[in-house]
Amino acid sequence: MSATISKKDMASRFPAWGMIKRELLTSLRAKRSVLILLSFMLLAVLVILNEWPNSEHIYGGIKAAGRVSRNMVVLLSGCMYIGCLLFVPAYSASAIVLERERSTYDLLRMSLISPLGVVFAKLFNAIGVFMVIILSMLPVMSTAFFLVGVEYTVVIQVFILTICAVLTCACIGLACSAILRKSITSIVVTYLSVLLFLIGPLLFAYLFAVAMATFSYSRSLFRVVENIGEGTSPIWVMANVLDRGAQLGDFVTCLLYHGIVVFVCLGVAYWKIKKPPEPAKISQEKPIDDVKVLKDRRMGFPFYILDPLKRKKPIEDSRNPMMVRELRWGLLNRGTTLVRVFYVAFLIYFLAGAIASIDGRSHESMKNWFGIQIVLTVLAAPGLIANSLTKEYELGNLDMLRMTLLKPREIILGKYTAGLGALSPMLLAAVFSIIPIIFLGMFNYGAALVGYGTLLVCSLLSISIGLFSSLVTKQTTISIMISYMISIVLYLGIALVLAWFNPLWLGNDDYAMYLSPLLVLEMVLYPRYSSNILYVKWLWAMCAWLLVSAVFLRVSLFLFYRNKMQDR
Amino acid sequence: MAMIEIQHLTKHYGKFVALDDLNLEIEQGDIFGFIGPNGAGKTTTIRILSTLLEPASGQAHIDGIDVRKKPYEIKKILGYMPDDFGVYDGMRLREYLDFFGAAYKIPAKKRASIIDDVLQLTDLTSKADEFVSAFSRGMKQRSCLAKTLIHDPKVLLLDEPASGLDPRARIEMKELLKTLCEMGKTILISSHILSELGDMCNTIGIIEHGKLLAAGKVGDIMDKVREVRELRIEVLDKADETENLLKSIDGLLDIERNENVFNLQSNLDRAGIVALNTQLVQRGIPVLFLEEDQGSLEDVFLSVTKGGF
Repeated sequence: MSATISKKDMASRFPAWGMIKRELLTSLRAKRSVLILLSFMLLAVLVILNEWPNSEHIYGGIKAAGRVSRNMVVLLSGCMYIGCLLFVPAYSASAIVLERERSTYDLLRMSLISPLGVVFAKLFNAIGVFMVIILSMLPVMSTAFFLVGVEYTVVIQVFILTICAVLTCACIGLACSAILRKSITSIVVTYLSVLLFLIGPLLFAYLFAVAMATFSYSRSLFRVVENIGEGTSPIWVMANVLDRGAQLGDFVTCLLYHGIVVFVCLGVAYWKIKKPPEPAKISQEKPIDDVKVLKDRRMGFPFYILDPLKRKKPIEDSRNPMMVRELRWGLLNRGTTLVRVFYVAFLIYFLAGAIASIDGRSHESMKNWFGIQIVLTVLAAPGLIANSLTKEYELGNLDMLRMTLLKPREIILGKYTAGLGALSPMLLAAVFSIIPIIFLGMFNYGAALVGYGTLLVCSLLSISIGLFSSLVTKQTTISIMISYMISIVLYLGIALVLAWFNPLWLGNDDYAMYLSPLLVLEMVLYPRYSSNILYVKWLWAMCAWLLVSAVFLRVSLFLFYRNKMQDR
Repeated sequence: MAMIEIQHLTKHYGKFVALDDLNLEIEQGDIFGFIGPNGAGKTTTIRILSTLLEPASGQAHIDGIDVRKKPYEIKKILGYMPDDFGVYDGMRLREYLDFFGAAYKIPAKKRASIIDDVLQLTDLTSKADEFVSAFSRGMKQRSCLAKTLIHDPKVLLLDEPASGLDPRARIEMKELLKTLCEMGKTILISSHILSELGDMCNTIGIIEHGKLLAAGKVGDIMDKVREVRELRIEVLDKADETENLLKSIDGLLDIERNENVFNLQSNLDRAGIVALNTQLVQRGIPVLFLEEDQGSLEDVFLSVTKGGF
């Protein structure tokens, strides 16, 4: 009798094995996986080619060579780590919720595969591609060993941290996917949770610092909390590893933090899958036409700014029906969620404003504060907008829409308005949260104009990118990934690559910053150099980015008109 | 002039030929049943007619308007109900219909009364203030039909409208389609439920592998298709004499006798059956009845199509 377990035995003993195999094969065979792998490799090769020592470095001696190898490792690790963090949530956040949306969840539950088997199969699916990417980066990164200056322990730490981050992000996505009912909600919540996981300990430490500064300042306690915060935060530890190598204590604490999050998330996912799903409840309360009853309700519940039971007006003739539908039903029906988003965004911006003001320099404070707002808005936008048309397609509404007398322009503008509406709580929070900046005496009119202007332009650009992404694919998950990729390229990629290569025609690498709607803030609000000329340059840059946004919108319209999205 | 006219329509999906030189005409006021196995090209035809899909070649006209050249004009006179459709979350039925009414550019003043009419026609008045997303499958089908009728289209393209409906809902849907036909609408309906199509449609078309195998009035197609007719004769008396007579007639392939009842397999045409009846009467045989087994649409479908994928 053979001691090894045959494939057939394996499948019969562990029914989940078949699913794990299927999920892995499906994810690895997909075109998008190959594209992601190729993109990573291409980026890595570009970094190596750009950083590889030339004659100047040879004259610089061993120190210069050491600097080059460290740069290579830092850049490659950064790309790998951030890339994985950006893409893993999109993969994992729809894993289980998509089964529900496609009505295959019950079939899965009826099979012999245990809930734990389902969880692990989905986990393998989510991390499979990224493990391949990480492994394939190993030989690329090892080229740094041809030079001096890089310790193998640093590379090992980088790889362990990246693998752990991928695993943790995938588990967070799985938990969200098991809890939530809609893939888009799951994706947004996953990204926010991943952000919280990455910077949560740091944020906690800083909040603690603010509290300490406000009340009684205990240096020793502050030091302990700061150490815990910095030692736990994955981003901080990774930065330390790449900078001078993390301390073993911090490294182990960080891994422990990853482990706890993984354990909790897997537990939640397992519990949700094991528990029989509850059918979605829809309240069929009739709308109220009686004005008196409506008034009484409003008096009784002052928070009913818009009573959900008040009968909605018919769509006016002069209005774009798509725009009205998106705003009146799509957006206002989610009024409670929007108010919550406003509160959370306001709280984050308020705290960020307070923390940024500690610095004491008005330009610097406002730059940091606006930077946080823009980054958060740009990060949130794909999750809120990149499903605009893929959702219609997935629900089966697109054909019916196309059959109406609505022109493509009206549909696209309706969706664009909905995107702006979805971002409006964050934009409003940004406007209201300037209060601490004013109170702390850090307000500067020029900086405020530049900051809010940049925020608005970035929001419009992100909406256009989201809309465009939702027209080049039929799947929400892929649309979100495309949206993030385009955002990375536009907000950072072009400017950083040009600053790196610094071609002759650019003249000065500072000019490269104007090729990013985000980094331009760094140039204009740089404390020592702020001047009218910079403001004019900023204005030109913003006009150019508005034009880019309009181009994306125009191309979206063209795609809607031309492409074969209607082919099911 | 035909209300729907399709000439040499061809559509490819890569190497797969979905429609292969399809020609079809549907007259105004017809309920045309479009029959074919899965992947035969029914939905592709409907989607081309509804301007959602571009054909590779060929022409299609509805009410004399070219679907490729004037899609906007086509949308004004066409109501399309897809086989797989969604509904918007958080919209009540009246709001849902109001949105589509506005999307079809119906003035707000007229819209309310039109919505009431459509709700009444589809028997959904009592559900007007309920959320569409909470409806059962049958209710959603009816809501979608209500949406399809909102702009009073001349032509209705219904892709599997009865799929997933319970027997009562199917009967109601059938009655509703008959009412719409009486209102002068031309209806093209694709379905797999052949027995219902047989009752409902006055003309049918059978499609397979993108080719139209047969089209026309149901009776005519049956005549064309069937090589052997099944006849049943019952006489009151003179059964032996009847048997001898039947045996002497050319064209009767098989005679099965059960006392006074005869089941015949024949290749007689309609005129031959009339002649047979005349001979029986002339011999003084008291014929109680002579009937032809009409067969069903399923028989026609099976004999016309080859099956297989």
